[in-house]
Amino acid sequence: MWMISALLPVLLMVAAPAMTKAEGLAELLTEGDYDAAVEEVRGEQDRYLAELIERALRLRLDEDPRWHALLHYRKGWFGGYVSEVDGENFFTSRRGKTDPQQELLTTLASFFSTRPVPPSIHNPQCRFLARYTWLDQRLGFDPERLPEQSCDPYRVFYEAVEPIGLTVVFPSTHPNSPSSMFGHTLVRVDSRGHSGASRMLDYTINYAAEADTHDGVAYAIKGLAGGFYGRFRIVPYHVKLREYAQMENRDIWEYRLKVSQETVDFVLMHAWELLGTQFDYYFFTENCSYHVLTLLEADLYEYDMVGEFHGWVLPTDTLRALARNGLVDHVDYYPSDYRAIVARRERLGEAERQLARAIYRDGPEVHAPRLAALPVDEGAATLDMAYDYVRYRRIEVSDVMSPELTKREKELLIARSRLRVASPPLEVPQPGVRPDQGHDTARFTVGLGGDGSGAFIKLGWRGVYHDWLDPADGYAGNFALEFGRLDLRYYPDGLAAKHLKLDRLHLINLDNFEPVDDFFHRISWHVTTGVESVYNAAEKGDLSFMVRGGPGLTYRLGHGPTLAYVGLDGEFAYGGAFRGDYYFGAGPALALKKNLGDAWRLEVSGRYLAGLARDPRDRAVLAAEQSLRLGTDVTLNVGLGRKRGLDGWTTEGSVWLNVYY
Amino acid sequence: MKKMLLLLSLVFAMCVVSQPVLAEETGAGCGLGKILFEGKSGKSPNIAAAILNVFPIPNTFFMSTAASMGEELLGCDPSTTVLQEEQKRVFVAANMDNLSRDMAQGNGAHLAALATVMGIADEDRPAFYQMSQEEYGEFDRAASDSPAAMVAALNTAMLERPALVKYIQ
Repeated sequence: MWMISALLPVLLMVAAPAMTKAEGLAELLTEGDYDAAVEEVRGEQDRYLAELIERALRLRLDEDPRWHALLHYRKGWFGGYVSEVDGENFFTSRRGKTDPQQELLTTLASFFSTRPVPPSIHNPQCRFLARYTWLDQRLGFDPERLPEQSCDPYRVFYEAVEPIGLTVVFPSTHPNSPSSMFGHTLVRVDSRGHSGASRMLDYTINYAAEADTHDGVAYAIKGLAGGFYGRFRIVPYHVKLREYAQMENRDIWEYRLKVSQETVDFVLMHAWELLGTQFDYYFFTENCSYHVLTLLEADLYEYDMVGEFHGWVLPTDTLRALARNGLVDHVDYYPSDYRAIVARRERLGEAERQLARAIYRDGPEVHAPRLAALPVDEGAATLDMAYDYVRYRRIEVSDVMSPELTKREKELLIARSRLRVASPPLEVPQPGVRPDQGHDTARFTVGLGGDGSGAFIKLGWRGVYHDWLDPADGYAGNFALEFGRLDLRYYPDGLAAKHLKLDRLHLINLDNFEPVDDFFHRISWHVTTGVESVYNAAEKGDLSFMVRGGPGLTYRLGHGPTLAYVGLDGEFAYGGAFRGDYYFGAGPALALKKNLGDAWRLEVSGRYLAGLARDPRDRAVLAAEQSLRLGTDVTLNVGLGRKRGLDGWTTEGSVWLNVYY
Repeated sequence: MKKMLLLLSLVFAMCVVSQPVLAEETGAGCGLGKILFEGKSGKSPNIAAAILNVFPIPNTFFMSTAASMGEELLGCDPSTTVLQEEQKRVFVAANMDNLSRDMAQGNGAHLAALATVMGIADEDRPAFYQMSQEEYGEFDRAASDSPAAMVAALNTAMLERPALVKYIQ
């Protein structure tokens, strides 16, 4: 008896530290201090957390590509790793952003805690569901020693969505708008039981920058330099269809992926983890398309598609990466409202087209007799056309309903509903060439030519993206969008000093020339900025920094393949060759663009700039260029030009090959 | 506002840049978020609730659509708990103009999607589309009120048709 009472304090003294330790750990877990919790169990053999840590390290899970994919680690500039995620709460360790191993250990520690991960209400196992699932697969958690926490919200979500597939959705170029000319990509989660029209009920996972300023310059600078945050959001597909296909008139391409159910599940769990955290958004590199790939990497890390990109990331290039890796099952096409209107218009006879326009202008009442005279089906088709016009115009004019246009829409729909026939579905044929099958983005040029200074070798390079004379397939719309275009001429028999002439270095070239017709009234416009040579002669290497651009109108001649452009150009240039070191000129610009079959394009253009400022010298360019497509990624071009530089008129001609890569 | 954003931008964003999160609750705090946080049962509310519950702040992709429509997204009656009613209302509120057009035309993708939301079998869809066109005047009047009124009108019309009454509980 007395032995027990003597032993008791001894027992307590031995047990006390162990008990305090247990309380210590419990407290640390409750507080969410997982770095300290990991420290606390160091060397403690009998703690389950210590055992898991030891096994995880032995298996080198912190070096596993899956771990790096889930945490978005990339090799840092100075060795080591840095995660692209910028939200603090994405990491369980204070050092999580730069220490994959520590993050692994603290993540394991966090699984023992029920403390919600801010700002959510979810416990760590639920908040970091993909990590939990994977670590459980690799380490086999014992539910007795590491109890499984509930993650009902995800479970309910998952069961309601019933995901069976993934689709990468590509809203393509927005005609006539610079802010979306490269297109966009997002991921759609395909639900069991949805197909065709009901696909719009699927959910999408969308990464986008969240701009906190609309001021043009600040917006530009912040977007380029990581000044905005980017976030993932889950939005129903029908909301996105409205935004892209209706409001912005962009055609949509749906790349259904060839992936297993396990991939679908992992990607969805990872998307769940990414909700509520943020990344620094970089418009050229870590943009929406890049993050579609990083999201898919949650299970498709073995393809290392992200690793293929060094520098800028374009949506079409990410689609090419998916196709190249055999991940595309099939592609569907969802036409924009603009394309639907064009298709519908083609279906009508001339009389109905005119009646539709008249009804759009005046309403259905005034033209009721003419409408009643038509067979019911044609009357319905005419009203459908008129309604499309009114709605297109209403959306174009503003987001918020414009009262007269809305009233007109109602009148039209009520009149239409009285014709008791159903409108047949409008079939808009899918273009034969998909966006990922178009010519590659960068372009290299090599050729021969001659001008006033002699014969030359022509060398050129363009970074991105597309020009009208490039092969048209896969690039919808009449536009040119180029960043980084360099043209050089090397004169082998060059006079004394100068062999190499920089003809031009354009930083940006944007050109929109959608034709106007009796309904669509888009103004064409273009802008180019960069460095150009101002003298024709090679030995005068003077360059100027220029900005040139202007508005215009484009017409389609007849119903044929020829576009005619007429506009006004203005140029401001800065350089030592000009009197007073600067130049300002303006004048007319004309162009004729003709498609000769699928493979051949011809462009004849001219502009004349009258010097309007201190330097009164006029400058002009008259050019004809034709491009013959030899393959998807090769063209043979011939160009002739008559130019007036600061040193007078000259004539030039050249032949070259463009290779796209 | 979206158009203004496009006009103002001098840089070409590769990704559509979205609006900042606008926590504009309509009316007396009746928004999708609020109703869902009041713990309703049924599958559909919980889907959105599950997503929304990641943050305590209601995610506003529903809000901004409703705000731009100038209409209340959902009625404030907390007693309605029918699963399909919720899903129906959300889809209708976000697609009023598309649904109007499809109903007047007796056909269309958005109307077909609504039929899916309501669980209408393929063989009953022609009757559903026909009804939409016949009752269009009535629906249009209700739509001017609110999305909820439009849904109520839809329910009423379906109750009057033997082929479709089984889809209204």
